[in-house]
Amino acid sequence: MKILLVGGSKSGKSMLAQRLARSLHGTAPMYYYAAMDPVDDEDRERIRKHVKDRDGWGFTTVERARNVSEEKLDPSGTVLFDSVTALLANEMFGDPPAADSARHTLSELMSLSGSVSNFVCVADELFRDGTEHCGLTEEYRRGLAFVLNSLAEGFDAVCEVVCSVPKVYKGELPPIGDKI
Amino acid sequence: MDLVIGGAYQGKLTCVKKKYGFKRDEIFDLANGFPDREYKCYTHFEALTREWEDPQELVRLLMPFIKDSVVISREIGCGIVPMDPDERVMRERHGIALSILAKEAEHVTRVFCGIEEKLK
Repeated sequence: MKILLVGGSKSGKSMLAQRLARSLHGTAPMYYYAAMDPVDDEDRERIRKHVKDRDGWGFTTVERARNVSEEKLDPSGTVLFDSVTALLANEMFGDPPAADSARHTLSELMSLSGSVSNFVCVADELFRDGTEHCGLTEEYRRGLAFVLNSLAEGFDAVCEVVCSVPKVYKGELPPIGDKI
Repeated sequence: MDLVIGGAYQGKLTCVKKKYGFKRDEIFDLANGFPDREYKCYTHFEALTREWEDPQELVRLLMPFIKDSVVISREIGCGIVPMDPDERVMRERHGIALSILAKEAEHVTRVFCGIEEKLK
């Protein structure tokens, strides 16, 4: 099963993704795919918090900021991918930037999600302000929407996460139970 | 009139074209200003609220053109309140204008990641 979760900052999307991954994986391996390439202490603190949040859950952490489909994973496994937002930023603003970075990011994610049994990915909602952004920011926003809309078309379930509550736009989520 | 809203690049026009089957010459881009005649579909309603100070007046003057059409608009009221006072005023009056349009509309639909959600 392939699930896309989109939400604002601290909307609870990562924790929901963890619970969904746990519900889906059965006895097969569970991978936490961390795409963020930390640049400062704030990033490192965010990563520390995420590591703490999944401590004892049984995830194998994979840290890969670009070309994410190159990792060899168990085909019966479940991947929690955090996050599409970070991956596109790495591909678009990395040194060197990927050619046609949005299409490249989409193809990497399609390839990775197709290589395992279950794929739960999270992304940030950046589309409902009215600000005129500068060229590259707007190009990034347009690219992210392209990746997310394309994933949404192919995935089984699509949700917006609001205050940790999933608002389902497509498909059905597996039961996650009350246990945190 | 049907109103279709959503964030930037969510696939609003793609959804509308698929659902209603409009051809290119049946769609008018409001970024070009006020329409010269009736069309079946209007995009970028937010471009008009940028130009017009009074949302009530805007909708009243636009209504003869849009009464039997589909109007597409970006949602712009979320996120950080802009530093620029003109941008603040603009997004407030856009919110007011959308509420007026939604009240008049038969159907209101929101598009998220290319997927439609019925609001009214």
